[in-house]
Amino acid sequence: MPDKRKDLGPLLTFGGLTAVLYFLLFYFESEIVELTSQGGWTFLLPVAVAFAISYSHGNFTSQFWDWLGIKAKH
Amino acid sequence: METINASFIHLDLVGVLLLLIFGFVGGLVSGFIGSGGAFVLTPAMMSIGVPGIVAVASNICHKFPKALVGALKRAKYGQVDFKLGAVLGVSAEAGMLYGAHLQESIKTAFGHAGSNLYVSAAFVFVLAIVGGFVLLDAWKIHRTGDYHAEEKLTRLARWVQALNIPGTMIYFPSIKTRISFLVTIPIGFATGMLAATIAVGGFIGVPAMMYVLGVPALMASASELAIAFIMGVGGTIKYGWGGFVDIRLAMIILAGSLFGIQLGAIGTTYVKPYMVKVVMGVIMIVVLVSRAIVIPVYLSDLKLIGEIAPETVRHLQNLSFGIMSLALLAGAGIILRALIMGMHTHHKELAVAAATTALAARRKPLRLSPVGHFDHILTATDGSEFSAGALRVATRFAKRNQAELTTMSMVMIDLEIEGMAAEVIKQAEGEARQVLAAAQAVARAEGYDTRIELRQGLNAHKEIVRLADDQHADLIVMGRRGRRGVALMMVGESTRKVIGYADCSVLVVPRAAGIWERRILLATDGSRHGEMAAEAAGQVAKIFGLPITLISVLRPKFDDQRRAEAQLEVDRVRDALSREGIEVDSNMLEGADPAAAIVEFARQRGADLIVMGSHGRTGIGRLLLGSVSEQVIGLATCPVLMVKA
Repeated sequence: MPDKRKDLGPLLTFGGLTAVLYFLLFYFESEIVELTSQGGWTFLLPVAVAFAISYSHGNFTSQFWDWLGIKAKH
Repeated sequence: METINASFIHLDLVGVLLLLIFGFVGGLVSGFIGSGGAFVLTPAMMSIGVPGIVAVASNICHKFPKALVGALKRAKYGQVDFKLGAVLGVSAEAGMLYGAHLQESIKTAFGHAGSNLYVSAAFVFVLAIVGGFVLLDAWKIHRTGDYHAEEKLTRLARWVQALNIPGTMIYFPSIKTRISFLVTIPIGFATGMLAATIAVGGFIGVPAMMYVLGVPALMASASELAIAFIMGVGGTIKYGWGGFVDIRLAMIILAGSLFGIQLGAIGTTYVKPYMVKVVMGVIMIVVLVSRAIVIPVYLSDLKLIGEIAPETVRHLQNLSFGIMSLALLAGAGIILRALIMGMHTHHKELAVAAATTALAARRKPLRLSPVGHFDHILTATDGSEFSAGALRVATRFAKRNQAELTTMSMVMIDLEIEGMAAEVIKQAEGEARQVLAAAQAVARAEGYDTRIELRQGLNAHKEIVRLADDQHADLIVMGRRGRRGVALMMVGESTRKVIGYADCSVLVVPRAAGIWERRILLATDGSRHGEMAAEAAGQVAKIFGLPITLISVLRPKFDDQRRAEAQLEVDRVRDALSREGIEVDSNMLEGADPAAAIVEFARQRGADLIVMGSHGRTGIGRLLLGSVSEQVIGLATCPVLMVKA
């Protein structure tokens, strides 16, 4: 088995980025809730957050299972 | 839970944890059964006090980026009919906007109780029909044992495809025929309407595409992702405009569901097909019961029935929550058990196979220095024109040296979003096996045989390097991407990374290149890597009986001392090769662009193999080949051997 540390780079990068995004979301929780519950053009905020976190977290989870070696049967 | 304002609940730690668990289990279930997890998530959110309209809106918001990613990935397998997706998507968008408008009107007229009643009643109705059908189907498969029933065109689909209404016909590639848009409009509208009501439009969209239009199942589920994206954007804007999207809920659920969805998708490959349907049907029916239990509470709130005692309301809500939790835990339990047991058995089988290979490797005599030996050659193919040259050269090299040859191909698995995992993987594997069978035929036509290996994973380069490590390969032979425009200087992402990460040497073969027959050009830079390259070049020269042209490129900025050192190094290498009985000539070139100088000199001397040393870089540097090496690989018309120190 090759050294798993080699594959840690992207895993940690996306993991770190995801953690930062979630931290920001909850650090500014009251402001975000206040803003988005007003409606109107504030809809852009949830759309942007959804895209950013989906991208980062999606990549992180894919790398995570791959790193653990959990794969489909073949 | 108390509310911060009219729509959004206050989130405490327990709420966050519950949402995470719901997200994970919802993801697990949706990955496993290949359907949007929202039919689990929306009721789950409602059962912890989230108003129905906010639950639906937040789910639509968390889904559409995933739908986009999923649609793009499935498009790689050629499963998305974008034209059908767009045509259905437009009418679905109209259905979504109308459905969302209806939701908001109900909420305005009857408050959250009215909205909750509307969503719950829709769930009970839809889940009863869909859940019933799914269980019936599972029973049929179990009874007949017909797991791989061929898809037949329904009578309705045949009629729809035969229908000709002039001026309304559109050709769809997935069905390979023309269909009237008057048929697609109601399907799209109903899909959008249902998505706006319960956040799962696929319950209508996928079966309608399959049974009414005659779209194959794989393409229907993939094209549904394109529709879900179009609807999701419209729905999020519509609900977001009204201030109903609680992005915190959506993102916590996403955090859990992304972990779950991939595990669930992998899980399907370890269980019998009817099991997937049993889990799906049972969960649907239990969720239905959980929703139905609280309907009297909403009716009472709206004063449509007599008032229910607060104590009874609490009991009903707790019972609903308990049943929902039980359904999710049972579903998760079945899936995880299937996954763990299946993987355990599968790993045992793989371990036996690996032990056999390892034993065979140990029986071979040990070499103290692997540099310059080419006893085991690994080549990777994706069946494209770019890997054809690599396969040809690898076979001839292996045959000449009587080396073991392994040809690998891989299935890219990244199922973070979509379901139907088993079918997607099966199809991708089938295609990869065809590629490998074709590769084996090419090798046999050359009068040699190759072992074939199929791997699956997220990144081609990782799997290639892992296999090379597992098999103690001495050389990896890979193709090179295009030579037009910007691609001229590109080695190809996978090839570049394999050179960076592999412990053995890598031979990069352009599409049209063949095995070397005339001369080897060895480029040295006076480093330790250059000496390794010389050793490897010497071995290849002896195997093929070819002369070597040795060069070192001096840049104009080099001072006298550096030039003298370079000359000394070239002389040392030339003498060493001559002592081995190899015909060698040495040359010092001058040029500001060493890569261009090397490639041009190779062309002038008629060399048809270039050998260079590769810096065994670590960390980020692994991803960056030396710029000279990369340019030589990009510019050369002959194979380039990168020797690892």
